[in-house]
Amino acid sequence: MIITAKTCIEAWKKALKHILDEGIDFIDLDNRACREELNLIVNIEEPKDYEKLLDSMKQFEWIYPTNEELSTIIFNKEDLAIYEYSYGPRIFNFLGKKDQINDYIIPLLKNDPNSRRAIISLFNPDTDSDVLNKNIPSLMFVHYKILGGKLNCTCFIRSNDFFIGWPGNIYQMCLLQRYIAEKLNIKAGVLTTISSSAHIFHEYNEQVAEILK
Amino acid sequence: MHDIEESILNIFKNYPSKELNAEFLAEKLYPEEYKIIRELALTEDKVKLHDAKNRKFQLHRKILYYLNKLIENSILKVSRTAEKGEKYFTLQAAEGDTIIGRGYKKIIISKPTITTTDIESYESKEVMKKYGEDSWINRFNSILLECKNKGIEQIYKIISECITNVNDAIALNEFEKIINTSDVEELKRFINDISKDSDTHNKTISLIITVSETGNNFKQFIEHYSSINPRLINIVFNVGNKDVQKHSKILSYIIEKFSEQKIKINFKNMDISSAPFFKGRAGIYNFDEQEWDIYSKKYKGSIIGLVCSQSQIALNINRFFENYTTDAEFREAVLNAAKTLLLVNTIQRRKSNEYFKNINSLNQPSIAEFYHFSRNYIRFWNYDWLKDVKENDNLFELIKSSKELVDKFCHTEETIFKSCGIPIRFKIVFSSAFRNYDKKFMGDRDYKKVTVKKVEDYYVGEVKEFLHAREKMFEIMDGGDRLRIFRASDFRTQDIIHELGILLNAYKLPFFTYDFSGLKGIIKLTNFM
Repeated sequence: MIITAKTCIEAWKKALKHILDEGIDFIDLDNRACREELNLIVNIEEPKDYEKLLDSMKQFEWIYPTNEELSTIIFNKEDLAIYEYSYGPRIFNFLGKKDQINDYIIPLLKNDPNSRRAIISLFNPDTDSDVLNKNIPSLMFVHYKILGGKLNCTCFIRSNDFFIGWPGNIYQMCLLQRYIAEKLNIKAGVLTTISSSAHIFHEYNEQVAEILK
Repeated sequence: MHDIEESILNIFKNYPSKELNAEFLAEKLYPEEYKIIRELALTEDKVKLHDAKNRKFQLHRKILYYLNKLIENSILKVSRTAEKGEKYFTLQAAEGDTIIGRGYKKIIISKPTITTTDIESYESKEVMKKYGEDSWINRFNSILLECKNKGIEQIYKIISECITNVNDAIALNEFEKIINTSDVEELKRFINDISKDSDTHNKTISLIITVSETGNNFKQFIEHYSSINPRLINIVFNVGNKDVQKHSKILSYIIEKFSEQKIKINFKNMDISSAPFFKGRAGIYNFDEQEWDIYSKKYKGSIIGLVCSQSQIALNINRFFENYTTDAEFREAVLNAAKTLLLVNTIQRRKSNEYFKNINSLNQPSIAEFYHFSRNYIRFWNYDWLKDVKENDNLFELIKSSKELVDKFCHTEETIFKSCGIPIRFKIVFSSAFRNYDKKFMGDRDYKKVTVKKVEDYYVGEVKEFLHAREKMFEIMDGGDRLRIFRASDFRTQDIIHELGILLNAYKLPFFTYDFSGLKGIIKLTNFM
């Protein structure tokens, strides 16, 4: 299924409704009931309202990660001892030696704006392809492509809690997209998420209904 | 601003939330000179030793001069004075404060702050209290260090590295391994040294000893320990039901020596819990049984130990119900404490590489594993305030329902953060608080005393009912609890051994303490709890 919307909020609402209407119920390994839609693609044409998504999550009684923490996790290249993994080091210091953005994506797209090779990987088969390891990143890879003078971004998320996680993912992806676009001196364009498993846990049905009002 | 003042501030900039003493600063400011002092101090030549002492004194005096100037300018403050008048300094400047250095160079202080709006109203009513408010973000409450396969010097070095990262207790697991493999004199010196260090830093060290694993040096160790009776070092003896008969001689010796000096004896029932229990100033600490099993199979040996507790908040139940009336308000208060602990954990996580640099370097390359099973504590004071045990049923239910709410909150938060690419661990456990958590905040303890006049009482009536109520509380208190048994002075060691057998065999009480300190021979009853 492909959902296209102008803004983040609009895309989120459309996708949530689609999962609730068309998804299939199942119980996950932690015994949590959810509704799932496979291979859900969401295109956001002008993802300027990415901060508003986070505001929507802050109206509930739980504590959502702060904008600062979400930003740190994507931009801090230092491995923090307390996390098993973190996105920042994988993006900016993969295996302690590769800055995938500053040493690859930016020079590549500067050199060849038509390149289709601008991809970063967050999955490390060496540590993540482990039967006993449940703590592996959900965000697998991100592809950048310049089209019509704008930097488009496509990211692949293997397991995507569409209600709780997606707003945070969008916030982080938008920040990174804007960081690269600024370095390339162009504007940020479309943001696309491909969620292999897009799901909503039933325990949040009440809050989802609140969002969809 | 003088060069040295600026250099001192730059050191503080790297350790914005730490207490630093003149020795630490001297070593950072004058590494070459300090190296010479260290070398001179290692010799046995009296002249050289004198020289080392002199050089050190002069260096400290010089630094103290500039430290005092920084205090006068309200940039630093004395945070505490340790043994022999040694002063510790911290930044007085707040987050984001800019200090103009020499040549108008700016030194910007980055010091973490936290808004604790969720519990502020409870704090103002003295219903809730953070533990170690000044250090509750940049230090752990308690950690456990493994003694297995480590020499006595190595374990001492590790303690020295970690002691400033902890605000309550360090547990030394399998300490019998150190006793069994060390020279007796070396062992005595070690106990003296850690006793001095625990006093200097005002931290508790809990030695965990499995009675059945003790060897030749054990009696001498007990003799020495009880003779010096260190203020901040306690021992937890792991015992099982079978040990009572099999090791009755050792147990008798411990009881004899400890009771003479009025030292508390802590027992952990190994038949009920294989995970360690230990005692800090705030209360009992423990680990989750299943997680301890995973740790033992998967990680033990590759890291120096584990973080046990990150941060904690105490709730004075008596005082709470003087200010509030409903169960719903109580559950809301507990949930607000949980939210505050999450915020504290968030800052700890973000700054972990800065705050716990030395611990991380000790755990290389398996750094993350040290944090793998950490929890946070919510402790209750005067939770069994109702004199009639039967009337406490509502309280059990209230604490139980609060626990369910907190567990759900923790699970939800872990899921939310994980979904956003922040794989956190956030767990909260419940436990009772000790009065030493904060004597002023706690006030007097109001609890029911149950008198045990003869051993048979353990099986009937009030005592049996009381112990079953405590069993129930132990089930709810997943962070550990303790049953305290006060013992009159006129007892036979054999009676205690007998009682110990009953407590281990007939009741599900993971941790209990014999206290010989409070009775002073004036109370006639045999013992009470």
